[in-house]
Amino acid sequence: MILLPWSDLLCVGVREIDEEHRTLVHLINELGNAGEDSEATIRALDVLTNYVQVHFAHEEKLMRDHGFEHLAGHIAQHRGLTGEVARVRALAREGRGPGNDELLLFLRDWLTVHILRDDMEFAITLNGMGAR
Amino acid sequence: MRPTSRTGSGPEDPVHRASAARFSGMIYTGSSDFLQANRYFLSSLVTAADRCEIHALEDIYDTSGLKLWARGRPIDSRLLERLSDRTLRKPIELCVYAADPVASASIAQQLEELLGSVPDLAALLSPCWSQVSEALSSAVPTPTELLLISVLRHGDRDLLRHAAVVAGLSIAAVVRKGLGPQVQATVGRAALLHDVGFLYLDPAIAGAGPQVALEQARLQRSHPLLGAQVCTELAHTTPAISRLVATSHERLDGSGFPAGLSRQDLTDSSLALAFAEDCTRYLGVTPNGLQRAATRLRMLSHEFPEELMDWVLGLARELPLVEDPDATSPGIEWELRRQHALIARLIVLFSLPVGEAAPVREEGSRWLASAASLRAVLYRTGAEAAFSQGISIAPESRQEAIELAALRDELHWRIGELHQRIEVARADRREFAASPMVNSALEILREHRAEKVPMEATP
Repeated sequence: MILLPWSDLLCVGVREIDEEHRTLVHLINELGNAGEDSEATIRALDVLTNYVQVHFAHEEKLMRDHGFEHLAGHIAQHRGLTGEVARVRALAREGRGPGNDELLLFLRDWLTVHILRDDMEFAITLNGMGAR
Repeated sequence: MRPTSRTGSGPEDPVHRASAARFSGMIYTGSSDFLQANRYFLSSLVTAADRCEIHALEDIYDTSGLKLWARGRPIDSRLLERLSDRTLRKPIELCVYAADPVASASIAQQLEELLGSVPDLAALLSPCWSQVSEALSSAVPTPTELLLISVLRHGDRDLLRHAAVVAGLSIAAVVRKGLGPQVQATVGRAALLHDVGFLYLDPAIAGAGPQVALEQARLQRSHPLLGAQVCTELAHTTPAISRLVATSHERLDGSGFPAGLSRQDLTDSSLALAFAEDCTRYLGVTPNGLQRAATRLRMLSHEFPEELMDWVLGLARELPLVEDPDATSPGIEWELRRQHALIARLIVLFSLPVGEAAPVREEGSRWLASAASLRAVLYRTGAEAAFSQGISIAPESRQEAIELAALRDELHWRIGELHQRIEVARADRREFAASPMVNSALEILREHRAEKVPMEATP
């Protein structure tokens, strides 16, 4: 079952960033269907660890290239999220990690705060400069 | 099986059921509460008495037998002090009368004068003006009805102008539907009284729109039932009129208030009145009001009967567009983008009610449906596709500019309504107050409400 279908609604209007966000939504749907399978949690955290590194690096480069004024705030936020994902992944590998529901909530809040607010703001600035 | 009565007012009637449920222990439980004069009504009554003749119909006594006001004496500001904290033998509304009431014919005359200055209204009413005028003029109101209409006109705030426009449009709508003179007159009378509940509420609430504080929101959404109760218990209008007042803000698809009734509970007359009420949010209020009303109807096309929408849509196409500074403001695109982002955030949130209690999940699914209907509006207008591709939606014609402004205003209104519903749910139920999903939604909505158009997005 798809909990959150990917659609134009979730696009911020910058193609590369949207493609990466699509991965995150896919992950949410995978977790939603995994029930209490702890292997699924670890797999999801592995994907997420890789994802945050690639996505944040890409986003920061775009911001730097376009002189985005809120860059420092975004970098700090990215560091915080990367650290949190690493911490949770380590706990999960020790068998003390969060359940799937907890991880799902973490991703939901990330999507509603980071992507659909902060990234949207960045995209509006970027689109004004011709990056699509 | 659902009750089959469409005009009745018995205990099986859905409006009465809703009334009993919503008012029990909240605002009032019966006519005995009118025995202490409502302070907002009293203030408006005294203000009105300063502007027209309102006299005591009989000696006014409190329950201990103390005479507070003599029969025949004109009402003045001393009444406020005399009635303060007194329980009366009879409601004040039944003890006074308008000696020179606002006559039905004069309402028709004033409405006719408005047609000269509001082209949108003229386009809608002129073709059937003789029936509208006749329906308004032929009404035989009860004495208390006349008093209430005078207070609506001359009280702390003129609520009658809006009511008269709604009356004219409602009558025109039932004429269009082919309903006869008796129905036309009934709808007209109900329309004049449809906001009478506001006389009993803090004036700050009336017309404040959905962006108001929690308690105000609760009261605002209850004003049609309060009005219906005033009609029944004080004005002694017919059950049909009271019912029309109660349903004056309902919608075909159940999205209206206060009872969320839908097609099977609403008559043609109810829908005509509700339709007229909704259209007046634009007519004569903004330039190109008819076109804005038409855009709003096209966007949310499931709320009213098709034939009524066709009426407005057809006329909107014929009227020439006029200068509209608000519609050409560059800030509109920014506001629409923020609304789009907000709707997306709410949809994500309500789509994933992880770990929530069953009642929260259930209510959350209704909120999700509301947010999804707003998203559908953005989708249908092409705004969502443009935003997703990073394309500007700057209008290329005056018509497009007006449609974008109407879209923004309607989304603003609907987002405010959804916000109200969530605030009320959180305040009323413990499991909602403890819900992370509800609290996140409110945080997002409050943050959105606090946002201002940045300088770079303004001219």
